Parts: sequence; structure tokens; C-alpha cells
Amino acid sequence: VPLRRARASLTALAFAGLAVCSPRAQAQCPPPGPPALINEVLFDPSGADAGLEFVELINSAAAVVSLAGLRIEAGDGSGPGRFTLRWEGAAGDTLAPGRRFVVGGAMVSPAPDRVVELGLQNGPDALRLVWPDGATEVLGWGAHEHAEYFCGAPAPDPASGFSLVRRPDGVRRGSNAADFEPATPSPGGPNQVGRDVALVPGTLRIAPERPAPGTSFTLEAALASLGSQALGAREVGVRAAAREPDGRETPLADTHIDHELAPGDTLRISLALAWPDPGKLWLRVDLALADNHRPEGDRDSIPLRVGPGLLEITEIQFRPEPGEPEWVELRAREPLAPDGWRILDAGGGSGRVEAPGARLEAESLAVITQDRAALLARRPALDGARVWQAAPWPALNNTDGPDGFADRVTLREPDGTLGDAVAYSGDSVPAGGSLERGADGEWRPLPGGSPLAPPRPLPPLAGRLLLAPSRWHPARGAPLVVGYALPWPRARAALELYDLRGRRQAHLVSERDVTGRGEWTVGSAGGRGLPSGYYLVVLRARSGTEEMVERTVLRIEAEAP
Amino acid sequence: VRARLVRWAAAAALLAGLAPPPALAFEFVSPERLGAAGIVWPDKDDGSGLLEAGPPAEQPQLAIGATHTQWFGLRQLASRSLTLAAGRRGWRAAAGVAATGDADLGWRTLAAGGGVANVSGGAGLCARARDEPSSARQIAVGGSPFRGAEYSAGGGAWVRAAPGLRLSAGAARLWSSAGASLPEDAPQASLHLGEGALVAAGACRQDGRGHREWALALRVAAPPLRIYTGAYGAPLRTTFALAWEGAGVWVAGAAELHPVLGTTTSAALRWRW
Repeated sequence: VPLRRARASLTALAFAGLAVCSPRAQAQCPPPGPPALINEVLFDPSGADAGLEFVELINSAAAVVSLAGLRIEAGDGSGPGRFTLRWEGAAGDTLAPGRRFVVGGAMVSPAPDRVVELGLQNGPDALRLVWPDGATEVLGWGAHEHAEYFCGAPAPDPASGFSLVRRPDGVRRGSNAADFEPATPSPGGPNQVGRDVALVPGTLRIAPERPAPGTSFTLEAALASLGSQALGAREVGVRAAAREPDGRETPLADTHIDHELAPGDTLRISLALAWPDPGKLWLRVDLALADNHRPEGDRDSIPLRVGPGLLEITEIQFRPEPGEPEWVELRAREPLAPDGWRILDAGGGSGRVEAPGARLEAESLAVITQDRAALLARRPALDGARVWQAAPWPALNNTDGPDGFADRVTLREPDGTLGDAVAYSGDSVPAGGSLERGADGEWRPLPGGSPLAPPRPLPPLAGRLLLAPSRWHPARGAPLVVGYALPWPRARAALELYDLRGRRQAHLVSERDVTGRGEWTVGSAGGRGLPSGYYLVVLRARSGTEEMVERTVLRIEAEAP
Repeated sequence: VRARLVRWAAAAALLAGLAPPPALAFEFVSPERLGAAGIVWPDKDDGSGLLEAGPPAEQPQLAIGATHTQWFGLRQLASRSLTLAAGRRGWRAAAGVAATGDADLGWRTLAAGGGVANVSGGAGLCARARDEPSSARQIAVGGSPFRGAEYSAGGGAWVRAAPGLRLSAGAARLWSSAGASLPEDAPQASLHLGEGALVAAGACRQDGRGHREWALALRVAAPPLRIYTGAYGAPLRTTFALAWEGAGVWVAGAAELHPVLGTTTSAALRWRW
């Protein structure tokens, strides 16, 4: 395998320290009574939870603590008073000074002191210790509405596979948020060692998320110094590598952190990388630290697709007629199994595509909808084998925000790899109409929508540039449809608006790759604010060394209805 | 006899110009005028200066003129105009009609203006009525109604600040039925460089959308020819014009080059007594 050249750069940013809760909260929680505390909890192991969940207690006092009668309760944060017993200490269960006691599933390694299936929930939920004398300690994670499920402020909800640990072991700062942080699980072991550096879970990012082959992209991550000792400049190494589907690995970057890291410091790192070939691969980041007391958490990886995704979004129905559900049409570029794909909106709403056993052939169209039965009832001619439901449905917005977009539809593979993402404006789409991606790649309003139908071909154009209407009323929300026909099959083109004095008044369409015959729909926002009068719409296009400029007259009516 | 022939030929050309709907786009280029920057030469005497922004001609004159302008090479966007200017002693008056565009997209303008002037300075007022022929038709066939007519008034003045130095300013739409409008033209100054040579400059101006305009122009006279050239604005537009005058007839042609939109051409004919 030829070594792919990669450029790497590194930047770092120190984060502020963790927030602490108010003095009143510090005085009240956790209670000063019991010397044994919750020291670590894993409630969301990677994959199936069964047998892997655990709770670790620690005795930070100088005397042996009896655990007889101690109750470990799980809290369901969806409503008040929902604590249920998971384990109760028996006579003879004791915890020596400075030691840890693990209660967990049969698959926890090393083996827990007591085996029990805890069945903890993934948040916003809680864990509570109730001592025989009535003293309690509560640990809550996620965003809670009820104060009984946390102490001070809730701890963060860690990503799957990571536990919440009290760091340093046994510390009492008076708040779950201040005492606990996500970490690699360490049942029965110390939460903080002398020298330790780890990647912060869930911080790997790629931008742009789907780079073109051979173009630069950025791999970002955050790392934290988790040990009790400071780490010197250039002590921490950062390596990045790519793993292809056939298992081949290619080093992409090898560098060092130039900053000193005090205990608790967090740094953000950024690596500029490139990959020459289209396709899917995994990017792996490894941290290297000599005499690292805990190597767990030094490695993380993220999937990456270079070049086009497995599919493309071809039509979006976000403003359906009454009785019709929202839907999104897609076209497969390669054969794919849609089950488990996720559809997301800009607000973070996410739904899972439910299509067990289904398969979509290359170049086939399919529809993901809010309500499959309703869509098939509304459009009985649709091929039901290519209509799937996603639940819960991320409701798609109709009205543009300040950024000029109403919403953003994203489709992701089950492992999170980006399939396609489209930000759309609802400005020019009438009620009941959809937005369809034409053969030229441009999005156009389509009255009534056309699920599972290929984009309508554009009729021949009588001229190079044609406007409809020639009198435009942007104040009434009317769009301007601009048809063009270029003398080349592909080109770079842009659309501008000039007044009759020759001054450019607006960029109607920014420069982009287009096919020879196409159509743009300019939303009314493009003409708002312009005074009534005559303007020139100018199409500028170039292909190779050739250029062309086409102009036509447009009358803008600024008056509102 | 030769002079008489020239005059009759000019009269025939003017009548031919009247055959299509008579015309004017007072606001824009004519062979002597640098487009949007609004340089109005002091010796312009066909009345269009008065109709455009108010500054009256320095010398009293009876003149009739016509122009034809092809905007940016677009066939659908041509302007034709016919103007009449008159003056006696210190009084100046002008009237004109113009049409731009076609029956689908176009407008017609009727304008009149009056003012006073002498060798030291002058001031004038102008008023225009503009309508769009297609608007009435669109309403008639049930189309969406829109404002099809506009009435506007403006004014301008000039003053000889020093020997050879003339300052002028004008605003075509101090009032408009379509709403208030900022002054369209830059205040400007012109300076005689010597025998037959004149340089003119327009000051910067910023309209409501943040556009700045400036203009710099030069005229050289070598009777019976006059050559005009200049540049203005952003994007940079350049103009070149050539005029010939003899036997009371004045003929001119001009071109203005826009880096994106193309070339605007204009021709003018004037007959004066």
C-alpha cells in the first residue's frame, strides 16, 4: 500500500474548570453521614446492556463499613417518586477502608463482588443509595425535571460505553456535576491514577463530514489529562490512521502536543488530513504517553465516507396537504439495506428507519415517511415495498429561519456515517408542494409532490435565459423561476441582479456547478427590499476557458398585496 | 443651399423618429451624458438636462432633438426620446416625451421643466408622468394589479463659482408618487481647461443600498467636432462620444461599456435655431 501523504497540524485550547454547585448545595449533598459513596456507575455499556452494568462503591473512611441493609435503587427520571430496588446488602457484606465494592452483572470484568442484573436506564435517570439509618446519596445524569433525582446539579449523560466516575476517587464537592465525569469503565480500579491522558468520549468530529477524494478535511477531538500528575510539553503523542474495509491501515498523522497539561486540563486538537480514494473507511486516533498508568481511553475511531454517500435525498415533502404525512424520497447510489438508517432534522430530532430485511437496489428510489399507512392510503399507486416508516419522525419545519433555511434533512447509516444532508428553504414552496432535486442537481418546488417518480425532464428552452414571471412580486412571496440553456453540457454558473444604472443589486444564485439545461427557483427573499422598477437578470457562466453572459429584463413590483 | 439641405434632412429624420411611439428616457444616457453618474455638460441645450434633473441651459435657445439608446445591447430595452427646448432672456423651458422597452415590459414618460439662468448661474424644476402601457392591459385581462403610473418632480441648479469653474447639482425625484427617493445624481463640478477643453467631475454619492458613485469626464472641442470621454461608478463603466455640429444641426453618437452587462449605444440628432 503506498503511503498516503497527510498533513497534520495541531491546535490546543484549554477548557475552563468544571462548575461547582452553590454553597447551600455543598452543605446538603452528598450527606456527610455514610463514609461509603457511589464511586462509579456504568448504566449504558456498548451494545446490549445485559450483564455489563455495574455500580462501584468506595470507603474513604478509616473504619470498616457494613453494607448490611444498604439498598441500591434505580430512579426513573420520567416522573416523581420512581425509585425501585436493585440490590440490598446482606449480613456480612463489608467494605474495608480505602477499598472498593462492585455490584454488577455477570459479564463485568474483573468479576464484581456481588453479581446482580441492575437494569439501569440511560437517562435522564438516577441511582440512589439508601442506608439502614435513612441516609441517602443520589446520583443523577442527564437533564432532570425533578430535584429528587440529583444532588446539586445532574452529572452529564455519557456516550454509550462510558461510565460516570467520581474523580478523584471519593471526592465530595457537593454536586453530581462537579463530582462525576464520563470515563472509560474501571470496575474495582482507581478512577484517577498518576499519569493518564485520554480522549474525551464522543468528541471525534470530521469537517466537512463527507470530503471529496483528495481534498483536505479536519479531524477534531478533545483530550483530557485525567491523572493526578502534570504532563510536560511534547509528552503526549497523537497519531491518526485510516483503516479500509479490507483491514489495511495507513498512517495519516504522527505529532505531539506542544502544551503542558495540568491535572484536569482538556485540550481540543485538530488534524488536517486528506484521503485520495472514494469509499468508506474508519479513522482512528491514538494517544501515546510514556509510563501511562491507564491506557484505557487512549484510542477512539470514527467512520468516514469520502466522496458521494450511499444515497442521495431527491425529494422532500415538508408541507403536505392535510391527510398526507411528511416524507423524504431518496435514491440509492449502491445497493443498501435501509433498516436502522436514521433520519434527522436540524433541531436534533432523530428517527430510525424501520425496514427489516428490506434491500434497495442501486439507482432505485424509496420513500421514508412519517406514517407509512397514511401515505399508502393517500397514494395507493405507490410501491409499498419501497415505502418505509421512521420513528419517531423528526418533524420538518416549513418556515425559513434567519439563516434562510427552514430545516435540514440528514440521513445517516446505522453506524453514524453521513448518507446525505440537505438544507432547504420553504420560501418558494406552495402548500402541498414538495421540493424535488432535478437532474441538474437543483432543487425546485413541485406542486403535489411525486414520491417514487424520477424528476421531471425540463422542456427545451426558447433562448438562453427565460424568466417566469417577467413581472415579479417578491413582496407577495412569489418565487422567480429562471430557466437557462448553456452551450456546454456542464459549467459553472451564477445569477445576478443589476439595476438599469448598471449597479449590481443582488446575488440571486451563487456560483455553482450546473448542467447545460437547468432551472433555478429564486425565493422571494432574493427580491425583497428592492424598489419597484426595471432590472437586469444576468446569467454568468463559464466552462473551461469559455465564458458567456446572458441578460434579460425583469420588472419587480415591491408593493405588498 | 447646403445648409438648407442639412436642415431639411434633419427635419425628415426627426419626423421619422416620431413614427414609432415617441420616446424619452430622460434619466439615462445620451451622447453627452455619462450614464448614472449624471454629468450634464453646461452647454447642453436640447432641454434634456432640465428634464432630467432641473439645471437649465446657460444660453437661451430654441432646439428640437431626438435620441435613440440601445441599453446593454438588449433589443427589448431601447429608449427613444423627443425633446423641445426654448429660452428667452433669463427664462428656460423644455418638454419631452420618451418610451423605453416594448409592449410587454416598458414605460412611457412625459416631462416638462422650467427655470431661470444667466451667465452666473441657474435653477430649474422639472416634473414627469410615467406609465407602463402593459399595466393597463394586464388589469384589463384580469391580471394582478400593480402601480402602473408614477408622477415625480425634482429640481436642480448650477452656479459659476469662479471663472471657468461651474458647480451644479440636481435631484430628479425630490417627490414621487411611488415614494420618497434619494437624489439620483452626484453633485458635480466642471472646469474649463482652456480653449475648447473642459473637465468635469462628479462627487461621491451613496444611495440607500450602499452604492457609491463617482464620475470623471473630459470634453475636447475641435470645431466642428467635440469628443467626450469619461469613466464612472462601480463596476467601472467607461464612455466615449463624438459629436458634429454644422448649419444648425448637431449629430452625435456614443457608447458606454459595462464590464458585465455589455455596451450601451446611443445616437442623437438636434436641430436648433
